[in-house]
Amino acid sequence: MAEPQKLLTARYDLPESWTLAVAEKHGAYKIARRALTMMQPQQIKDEVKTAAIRGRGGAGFPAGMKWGFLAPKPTDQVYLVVNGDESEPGTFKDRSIMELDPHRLIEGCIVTCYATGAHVAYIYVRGELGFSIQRLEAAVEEARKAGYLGERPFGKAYPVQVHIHSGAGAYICGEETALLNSLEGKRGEPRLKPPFPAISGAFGMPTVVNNVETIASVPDILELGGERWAKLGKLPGDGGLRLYGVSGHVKRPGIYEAPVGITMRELIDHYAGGMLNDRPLKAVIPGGSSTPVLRPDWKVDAPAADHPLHAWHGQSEIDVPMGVDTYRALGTMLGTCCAIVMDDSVNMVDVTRNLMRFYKHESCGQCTPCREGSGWFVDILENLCNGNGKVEDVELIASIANNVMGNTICAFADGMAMPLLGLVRKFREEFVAAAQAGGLPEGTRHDNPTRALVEGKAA
Amino acid sequence: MGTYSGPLGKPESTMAFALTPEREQQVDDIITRYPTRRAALIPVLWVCQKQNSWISPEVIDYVAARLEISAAAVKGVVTFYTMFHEHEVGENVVWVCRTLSCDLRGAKAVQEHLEERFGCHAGGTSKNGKFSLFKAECLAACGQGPMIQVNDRYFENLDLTKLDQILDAYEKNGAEAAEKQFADTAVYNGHVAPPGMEPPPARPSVGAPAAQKPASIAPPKPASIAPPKPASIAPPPKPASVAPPASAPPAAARPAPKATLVGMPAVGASSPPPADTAAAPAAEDTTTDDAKKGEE
Repeated sequence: MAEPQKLLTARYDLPESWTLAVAEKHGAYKIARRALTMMQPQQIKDEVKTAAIRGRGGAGFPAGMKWGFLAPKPTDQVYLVVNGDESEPGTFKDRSIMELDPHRLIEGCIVTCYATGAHVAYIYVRGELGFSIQRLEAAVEEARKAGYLGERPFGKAYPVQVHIHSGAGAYICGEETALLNSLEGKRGEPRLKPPFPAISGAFGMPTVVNNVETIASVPDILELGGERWAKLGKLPGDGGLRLYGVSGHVKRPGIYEAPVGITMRELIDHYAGGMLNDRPLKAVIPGGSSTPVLRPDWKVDAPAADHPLHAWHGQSEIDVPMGVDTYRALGTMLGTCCAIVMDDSVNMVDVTRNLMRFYKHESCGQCTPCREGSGWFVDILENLCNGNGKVEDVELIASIANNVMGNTICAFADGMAMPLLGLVRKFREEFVAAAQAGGLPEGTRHDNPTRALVEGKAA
Repeated sequence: MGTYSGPLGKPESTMAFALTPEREQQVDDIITRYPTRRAALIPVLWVCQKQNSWISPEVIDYVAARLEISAAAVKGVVTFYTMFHEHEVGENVVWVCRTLSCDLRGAKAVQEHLEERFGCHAGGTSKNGKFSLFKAECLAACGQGPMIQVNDRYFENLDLTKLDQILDAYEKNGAEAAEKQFADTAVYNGHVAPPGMEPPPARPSVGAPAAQKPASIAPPKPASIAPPKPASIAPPPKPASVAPPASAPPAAARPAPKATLVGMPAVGASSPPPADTAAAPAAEDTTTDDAKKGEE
């Protein structure tokens, strides 16, 4: 039997794929019914563990292991919280699930609740995704009416409720403890860990926090069986199919489902149809803005035979299979697996400034190194771009970045400093050139307006 | 701005804020979903903002009383999240995404066009009160940039013509009619299958996929960089209000413009921007950090 090429996106192209009638006709809730009526929670957990599914939200933590950390006391109420606060720049994959196949996510919630002992699931969706929220709420209502949610889903006396909780615009709420604070009606400021959410999460109770795509994959894992699902991926310890996103300078930006372990080159050339206007690839940010940049003309340096990337020694960085562990060995991160592709017309100092503006805006302000550091980065980069920079500024950026990293409550600061250091390391010559030449090369200073603003013209 | 700035931030109005009976019911429903009343805070603020269009001090007092928490706690939350408006806004709120993926595909030209059309900087409101404009950080539509959000709808794969059509609809027919007119564009409509594996188009995809439409692809590259593409790849773009790329001088300094919008220079496009560049160097600088919560 041929292995499936499409799981998560299998129903995307059906007309009205988001309705219960269509989704159910094409297999939705079949697995949830089987799981609740014929399987034990431990069986489900074992399958998910065997499947070696790495969390799809960015950190790549094995989901099965995460579930294993739960140790609820008999009086505890376990919660499932689904992280749909998709806001990492470059990332737009979860939204397609929520809008085109919300029932897959709800089915995943039912199964995961049953497996982890939770009775209530909150799907936290970022506030901007009004349409996703509408689709999800409609789908929850349909599922409730059909008796798949509520007191006796599929006739099993195991109550499951799914609620949609909307955020209100804060990148940091994608960090799991900030998300929990936000869910509790507080400012989205991350909490110190430990205690980890599995011990004390939402409302002080043991909580499983997983990404939308992770939860949506659970029914497929049960359908195929953990072992077979794991083998869909091309890498050991990193199984299955996953959603790859491509944006930026490619012919066909979009979301593509593919096995874990394809290379960045395949993603760009095959899936995304190649570079826009066939210009050369200059750099690619592999998995959301917090992952250090890759340069196609940089080679993998792994001469030692025991290096995890030894098989790719001497090859281009973009020929390494995309997996959580391979990318970590490469000095970057797989992140959300959504690449931002840039061609040779882009100035990397300008790119860095764009990203640092994002981080400055989104820093929650709780920890000084991150709050102040993000502002300093922007100031220094503005100077470099505007011709007021000095060559020493390049070192200064690196020094601040090194002092910001690891000195804050959450990983936001690392997610800001790591890509910054990566950019400075791999494109140092452009930063130095910007300082020496008194700004960006002619024509690349894209933040000059191309037209004058005429006050009150239209209104 | 600010019609309420009374002493100590107290409302000047004597009129208490009240929700409509249906919305009161909605709030009751929301509260039952959570083990604590406070957890309903953000959803309830959304309900209030839907009715009132912004979170006034009266709204804060109402929500605090309704959820039995302090007004300071409510205010703390309101100021944290970008989407709660602390000042009055226009009839429609337009967010333009300026983070990297969108910027690579010409989001800056979209912002400029919006500013010119509305006659206000990002962070302001058009004089006729129809639109407020804000610069947004990543709206999770990276593959379909450049894009804007109007109220709670996304409009993606924009070019200036399409942008104007959308805004005209909002301006002339109101938000509800406009949302109906462009209903198909709300859903994720990017690619999901690699070339050659595309299924027959079943999903509604009005205006998509722009990235493939030849017309949206850049002007031909100068010969010095690479052999020029056959002319058929880039038929003359429809007249957009930005100056035509044909006027771009030969690439003296750096590689060719790789505009992705009709006639728009993309980020880092080499050709110096058309004619009136020199004017108003400050237009964006004053708005880059715009009405962000971080500044308040």
